[in-house]
Amino acid sequence: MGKIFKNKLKKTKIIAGDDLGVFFKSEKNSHQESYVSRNSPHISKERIHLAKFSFIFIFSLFILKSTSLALFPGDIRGIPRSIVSKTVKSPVPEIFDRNNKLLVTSVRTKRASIRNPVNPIETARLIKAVLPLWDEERLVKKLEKRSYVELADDISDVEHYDILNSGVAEVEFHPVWRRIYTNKELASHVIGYSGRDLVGLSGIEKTIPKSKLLQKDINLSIDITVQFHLEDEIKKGIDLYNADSGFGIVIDVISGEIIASASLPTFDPNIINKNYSKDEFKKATFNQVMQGSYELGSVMKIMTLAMALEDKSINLNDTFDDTICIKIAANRCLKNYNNDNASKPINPVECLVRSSNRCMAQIAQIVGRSKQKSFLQEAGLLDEYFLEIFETGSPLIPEKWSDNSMITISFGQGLGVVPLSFASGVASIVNGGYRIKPTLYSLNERDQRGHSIIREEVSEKLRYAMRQVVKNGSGAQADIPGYAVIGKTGTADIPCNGSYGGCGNRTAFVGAFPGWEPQYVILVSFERPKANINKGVKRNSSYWNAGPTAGNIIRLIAPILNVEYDEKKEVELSTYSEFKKETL
Amino acid sequence: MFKVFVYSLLLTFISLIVSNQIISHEIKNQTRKLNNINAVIQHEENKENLLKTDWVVRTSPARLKILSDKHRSTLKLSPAKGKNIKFIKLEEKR
Repeated sequence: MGKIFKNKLKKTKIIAGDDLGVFFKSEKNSHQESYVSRNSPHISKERIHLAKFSFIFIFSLFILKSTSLALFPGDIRGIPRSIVSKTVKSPVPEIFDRNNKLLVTSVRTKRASIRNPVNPIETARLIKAVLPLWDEERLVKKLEKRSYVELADDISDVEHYDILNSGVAEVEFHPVWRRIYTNKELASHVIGYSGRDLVGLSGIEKTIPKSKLLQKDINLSIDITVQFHLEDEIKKGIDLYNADSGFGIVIDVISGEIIASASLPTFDPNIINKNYSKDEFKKATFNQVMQGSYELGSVMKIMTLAMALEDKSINLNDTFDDTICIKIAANRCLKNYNNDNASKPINPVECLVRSSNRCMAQIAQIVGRSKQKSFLQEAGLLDEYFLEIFETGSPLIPEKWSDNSMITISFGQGLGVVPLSFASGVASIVNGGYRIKPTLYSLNERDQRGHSIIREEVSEKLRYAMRQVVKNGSGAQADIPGYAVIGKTGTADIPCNGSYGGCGNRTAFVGAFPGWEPQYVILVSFERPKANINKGVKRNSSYWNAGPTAGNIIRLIAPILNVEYDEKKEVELSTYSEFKKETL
Repeated sequence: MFKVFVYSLLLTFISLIVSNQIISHEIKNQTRKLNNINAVIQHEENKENLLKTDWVVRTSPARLKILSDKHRSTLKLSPAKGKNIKFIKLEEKR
């Protein structure tokens, strides 16, 4: 019986709904049906259990979840964050000076804006109470016109709190980065400034690569303390000499690193987008050192002398007649500054000390204009691209390099040079004659001297001649004891209305220190300086302004730059002792 | 046998779900803690950055010059002079 039951059970097909049929169908079913009905409660029971457990399971899930929510309500209040948030770094690198002093950094701040205000007039009134810089009427107009209005790009915590409590519900806050220029105006032309969302607009800021992979912190060649002294002294100079503007630069003669570069008037990059009118902006952001191109006057005589000595066209024992007429026009002879002519023939060193235009013109005539041009090219004075930043100027070269051009260029008129390339040209002459390339980045290896543009002995002769200018000539006010400063002054008429004279002058001093083995070159210049008798400034020539300012700067920065101090050391011409005996 | 199997299966399921709930809750908890720590780090980093900036502004040469000028009578500070610095050559020292 048991076997039959099992066999029958195996053959039985369980049809969905059968088990329920058991309860509703009458016992008058067929044999098979009655058989299934007789045994179905046993099978159904298991199914009911299954259903029961499923229900229990699902309910237990609900219970578990609700319990966990009851115990840890944080899940309801906060947005469940399944992804781990990371700390945010500034998208733009920081900028440091050569001694790792921070110059530019980025800080997190907030931008406040309004989206779709319900009542623009009321909103404007409330916002005006918190952000008083807003004009209420203007804000109302803006709110009515646009659905999204930015209130402030950079709000403080207090303002943030005030806006939240002002009762304006439509205000949104977005975290934004802001660039902070820690030294305000200092080196602002080099560093540059950035606009909205850290977009660099000038200087080094503009050159920062957009790719994050290439970004790393930048170390500039600038020494911020030297930069301060340079700017401070030039600022004092502008006030004292009542000059229109002024600039200065200090370069390392071995590496070409720009230690300091000042162009005044200057600007504060923190507020450049807010506080400057159009004219002020244009004037302040113009970098005279790197973008300007000026006739620097007699400082160019260094180049003329170097060129002639390198060419072996002259030697230091040659003499030149300072009284002869060198024609520059049909009825015009070339004049010396203040008609100060030497009564007897003078040698090239005396030519430089006296700053004789006639003498330099004669030297240039001996060398020739093609050699003059190629020498200036070699020294980098005619270069157009010479620096890492975009704001660089180009020299003003005469269309036709005529004999007259050659004569005027020999004493620093008729050729506009970019001050930075001139300073690096002088550095290349005093460092032993090796070409250097100016750079704004701090270098690991100091010696970056390139190919030779003049022989070492010519460099030595030039250093000697430049020392004589400071010791006995027009650069006397730049002579700082212990550093044997070498240099040359220059006073050039500023051209206007197609001619020279009557439009003021530009004065300049280019020097190097210490004289016996120059480490740094300094160039200082003022535009239209005036005499200031009350303060002891008797005239407007470079002897009275650019020279003393350069001297003050050297006195302040030489100890900072670790320049050796030695009162006994002098610039000597070891290889030209015979010449020395004759002249001294 | 079937019953045992079903019950054990159900038990396994339930225990799995319970443990899953516990683990997921623990993960959420830890993530939240980590996020909080990261937020604190970010806050501290921002603060450090601000303090660093503030320090640089406070010690900027321009500001120090103004302060040294202001307190010149008491502090008697003046720029370093070249002759006050002694240069020692390494060769001589040896």
